Amino acid sequence: MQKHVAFVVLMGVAVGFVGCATNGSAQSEAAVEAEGMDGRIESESVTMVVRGMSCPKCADNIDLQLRSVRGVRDVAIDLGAGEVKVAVDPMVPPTRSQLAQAIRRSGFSLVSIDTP
Amino acid sequence: MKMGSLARCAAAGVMMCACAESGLAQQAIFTPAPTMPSAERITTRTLFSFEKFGSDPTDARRDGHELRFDHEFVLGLTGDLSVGLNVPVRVRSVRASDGDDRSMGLGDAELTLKHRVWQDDFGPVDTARLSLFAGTTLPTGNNGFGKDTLDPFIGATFMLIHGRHGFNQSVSWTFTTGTADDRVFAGDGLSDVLKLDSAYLYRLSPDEYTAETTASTYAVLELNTIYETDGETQMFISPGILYEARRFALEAGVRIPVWQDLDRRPESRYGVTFGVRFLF
Repeated sequence: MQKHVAFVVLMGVAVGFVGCATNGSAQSEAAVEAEGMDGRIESESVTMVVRGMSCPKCADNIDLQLRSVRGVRDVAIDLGAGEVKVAVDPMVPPTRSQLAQAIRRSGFSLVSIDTP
Repeated sequence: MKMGSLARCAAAGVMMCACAESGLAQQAIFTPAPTMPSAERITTRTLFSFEKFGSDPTDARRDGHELRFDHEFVLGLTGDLSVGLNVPVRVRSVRASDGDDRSMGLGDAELTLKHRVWQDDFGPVDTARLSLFAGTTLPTGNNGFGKDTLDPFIGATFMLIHGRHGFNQSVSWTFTTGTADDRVFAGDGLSDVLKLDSAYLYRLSPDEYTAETTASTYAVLELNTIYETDGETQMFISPGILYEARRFALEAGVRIPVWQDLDRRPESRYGVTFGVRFLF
């Protein structure tokens, strides 16, 4: 009996996990949508303001996600300032939403995407 | 245990160590944290633990130690959902009233699903996060280390990081559905297990993060409580240190029992743990 109760509880929690609509990083997409910036990056670099990068490995998660975006040439992260500078290939520039999605997939909050 | 099995276990352990990786940042050594790898990233963590036990209140009068190698693999499914698998290799040496015994084998693996349900990143390095997790043990154990049952568990873990200070709090409940051959540690009996873990991390260096920061070092202090529903209770204080670079981390800690109320299994004398985490 105890075993059955345990599995019911476990499955309930598992379904809750998958079905839960709460997304701690929804801020990233919202920031981009609010600014209406879904076009391609038109400069050779952008600076993203990101919150919640509390450790060097957090920065590396962002670095890996951004480098997997086509058109990203280099990434430099200033943990203290919460700034992520991205060098962009002007031949195949990424979109702002691609950059925002990389931050969301990293598990952090994007505040803004700024171009020079 | 035959030498062939020993060699296979050792080889499996070495192979898993060689693949070790982890994205489990600012996670204390014994306290679960709501951290997880980013989407489609696989991380692992390897822990080497030694625990000495004795003062057995049962007639068996057991005294001995266990060496445990935990290999944890975590896959980030999305930015806030992960699935993890922990595979332990265990070596136990026991002196008892009915003779000595030394055994080695796989322990029961643990499969865990973790979902970050709330997050507030309120500063460049400041964050508060809450995750729920659930999972089950898998009957992978052999040579007396397994239970041949599935023991589901559920829990929640909270993290608050503000500047140089980090705080983790975790609670979990394991629905125990089977017993091990020999009741030495929590969860080996048929009683459910409640775990309460608290951890404080203080960043020793650097004083301030900059664009040049590539590593940081933390002092860790944990309070770990284990309660089994038949009354068996242990409380540990666990100081440690964590060094975290961008692609790897090293951790070391000791577990010192500060309060134990055990009638059915031996007391812990102390534990020592070393860990390595890599990120590719």
